[in-house]
Amino acid sequence: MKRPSLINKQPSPADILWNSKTLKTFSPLQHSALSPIILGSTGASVFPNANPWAYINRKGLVENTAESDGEFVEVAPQMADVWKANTEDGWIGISLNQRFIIGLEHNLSRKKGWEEELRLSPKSILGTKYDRSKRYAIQHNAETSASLVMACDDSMVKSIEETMRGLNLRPARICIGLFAMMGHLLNRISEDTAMKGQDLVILGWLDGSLCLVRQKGGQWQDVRCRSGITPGDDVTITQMIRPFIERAEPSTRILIMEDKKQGSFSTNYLDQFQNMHVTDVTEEFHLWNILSKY
Amino acid sequence: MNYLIHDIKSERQNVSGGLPVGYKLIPILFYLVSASSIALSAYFYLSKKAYETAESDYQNRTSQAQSEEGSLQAKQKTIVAESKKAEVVAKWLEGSRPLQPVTVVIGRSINKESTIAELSLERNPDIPAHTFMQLKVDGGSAGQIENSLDSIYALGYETYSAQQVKGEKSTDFQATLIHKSK
Repeated sequence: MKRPSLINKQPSPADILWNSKTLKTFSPLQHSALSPIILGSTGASVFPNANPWAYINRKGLVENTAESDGEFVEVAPQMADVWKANTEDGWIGISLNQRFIIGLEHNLSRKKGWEEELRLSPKSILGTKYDRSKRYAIQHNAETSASLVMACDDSMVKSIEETMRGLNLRPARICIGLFAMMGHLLNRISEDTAMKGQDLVILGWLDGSLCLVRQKGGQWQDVRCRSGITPGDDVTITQMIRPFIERAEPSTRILIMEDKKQGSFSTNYLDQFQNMHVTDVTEEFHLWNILSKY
Repeated sequence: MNYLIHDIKSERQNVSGGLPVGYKLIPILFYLVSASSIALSAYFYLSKKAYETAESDYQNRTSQAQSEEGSLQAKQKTIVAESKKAEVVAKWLEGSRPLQPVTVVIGRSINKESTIAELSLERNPDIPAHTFMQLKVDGGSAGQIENSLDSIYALGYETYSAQQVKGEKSTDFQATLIHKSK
């Protein structure tokens, strides 16, 4: 395993670590007032990959990024002292990029306080779809009864929390980066009157995880997601994209969002869409910026 | 954009089990005690004000009563002084019994052979009951003076410090007459 470098590098799509004193509800404005901090990554314990992290200053801007190869549980002990030295009390935000699934559900409860209810008693929100070995997050469509439901392994979250606890690090927020990116983009679309009525295929890519959403007339019609796609597994990606391309109309527009500009998807798989209208909405430090602002 | 990223980390376990349910009463009791304190303070303040007002009223009434008492005492002193003067006058008047009967009985007691050469009755200014009598009888027997004294005694007088001087043709008698009632 190579020693992590703190020199400026592009963060790889993965996770973000971030210091925060807020535990339950995460407000970026509160964090921006904190001292400069840090971030790191974790992700796949299945596929050895780079674990990037980023330092966020008091203004919520990315100041520095770094990464280290290996699993999070191996990288964290080496970097714990450095991370703690660059944070206040060791608060770090984490994005998980593996072992989760995103699906489409309808008519889920949206009663007041559903977010808290989902954390404390997810079965009352999800009903028979609830699996006690999973942790859930939901992104509601504001204009329809459809909702995106993310489920990730409870054991993976606990493993990360135990690792951090053993190193005196504190998880400020643990989230699924790809789900956060998709939620952010879908919110932007719903607030854009010119966009929300269009026929769209929204594609999110982060560190080997792919999520596709078809939106037509403001309605989410189809969702497909897969995490842990190995590099070079073109077959899987093609199988996921093909249904969306086959059902696409001439007016269908493809929106692509990755964690950083010129990411691995736009570099390797953009030709899957042939002559379709593709728009890459990815910005510099896209994942870090979303996680630091929201 | 009102968007908040989800958080799937484990809920923090409570460090302690929390306070007993009864402790919820503490803030309620605090507010009750505070309200009671304010109410009692207001009550005592109003009571103190009422007491001060009553005390001031009583002091005014006391001073007024003392003023009236002084006035009455002054009047009483005046009356007592007047009464003492009146008593003195009454005593004097009571002691100053009429002397006319004495002169009358003395005159009637004189027999044919005797004449009253001199008769004086002088009342003591300080003791009006004491009347100094001087009687000079010319002629007559030695019992003339006795007759006159008997007449005087019949009026209820007694004689003190009586002195009688018998001359050749006259008899001088002087004594202090005091009525028996005294």
